[in-house]
Amino acid sequence: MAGALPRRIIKETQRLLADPVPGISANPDESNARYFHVMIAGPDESPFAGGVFKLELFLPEEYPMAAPKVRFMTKIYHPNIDKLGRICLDILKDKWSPALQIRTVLLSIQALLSAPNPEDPLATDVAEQWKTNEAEAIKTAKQWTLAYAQA
Amino acid sequence: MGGRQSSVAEERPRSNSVDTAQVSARHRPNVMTAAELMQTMRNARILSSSSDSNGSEDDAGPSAIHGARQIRGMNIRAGRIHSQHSRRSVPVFMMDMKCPVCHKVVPSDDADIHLVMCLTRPKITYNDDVLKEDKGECSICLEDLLAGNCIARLPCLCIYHKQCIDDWFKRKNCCPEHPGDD
Repeated sequence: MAGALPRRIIKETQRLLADPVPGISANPDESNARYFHVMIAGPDESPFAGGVFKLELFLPEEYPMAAPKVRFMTKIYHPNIDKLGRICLDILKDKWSPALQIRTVLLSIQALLSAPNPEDPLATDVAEQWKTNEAEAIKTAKQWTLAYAQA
Repeated sequence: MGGRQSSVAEERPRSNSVDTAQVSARHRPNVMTAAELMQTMRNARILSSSSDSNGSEDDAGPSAIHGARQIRGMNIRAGRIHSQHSRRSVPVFMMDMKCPVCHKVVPSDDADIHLVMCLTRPKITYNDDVLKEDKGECSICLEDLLAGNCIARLPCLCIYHKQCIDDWFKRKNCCPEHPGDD
């Protein structure tokens, strides 16, 4: 049995809906207020520009003492995101702090799309391609964006 | 497909026990093992006990026992680190070690010094206070910090509801807004 929804979650949800982050939408599920349907627009100047990426975000029972669980639902060619959509981002793991919020987490993911980091890879094959032939990697990322990330 | 699955299972220690960690480390000789961690700890303990006691064997006895107890604790945690990292597809452990105390990732060359520093570092404490005037929002619960609320003042001058920071300190002893200061 889930307890009552903490006031912090209600507050964050209200603020996200009233004052959304540019290029990001996050809407709570009708049947579960801890589950959010997220859309992130690929940042301009990145290989993901023009794409719309669907993510799921879940606030665990321990939130905000534990990080939200976030996953890409849309296929994406990125060195820090694997085939299952799992994201390699420090603030979702050991660098989590309760002063962070859904808003800041989604902003960080948006920033990760602008700045892929092949030195700390999750998808090793993608990271390898990114390091050895960046032009080709960017080309593939653009192709995937066109093929899979169209709204 | 079946072969791949079994190799994955082999790399993942099923428990946090010392034996499991050592067995799986044998597959990857460059990984920092629980045994190495233990040796590091032992060296550090011997150094500190001999300098504290001016080399007297009588004094070194009890602290060595105390050291052994600490080492056992470290071993268990070392097993856990190993299992976390074996989920990754690249053995990052060859270059880095995640500190079991502060959870920072440090180069394995600095691991022994870092561990000693971490284990001897004093915990962050705070001063209790009752607010005399409203002070904006608590960044943990997002509720207002109101006059009359019981709050905690951290060394970085951040303030939170006492209950909020107590909840967080159960997980990690650092300021939510200044995690690097710990």
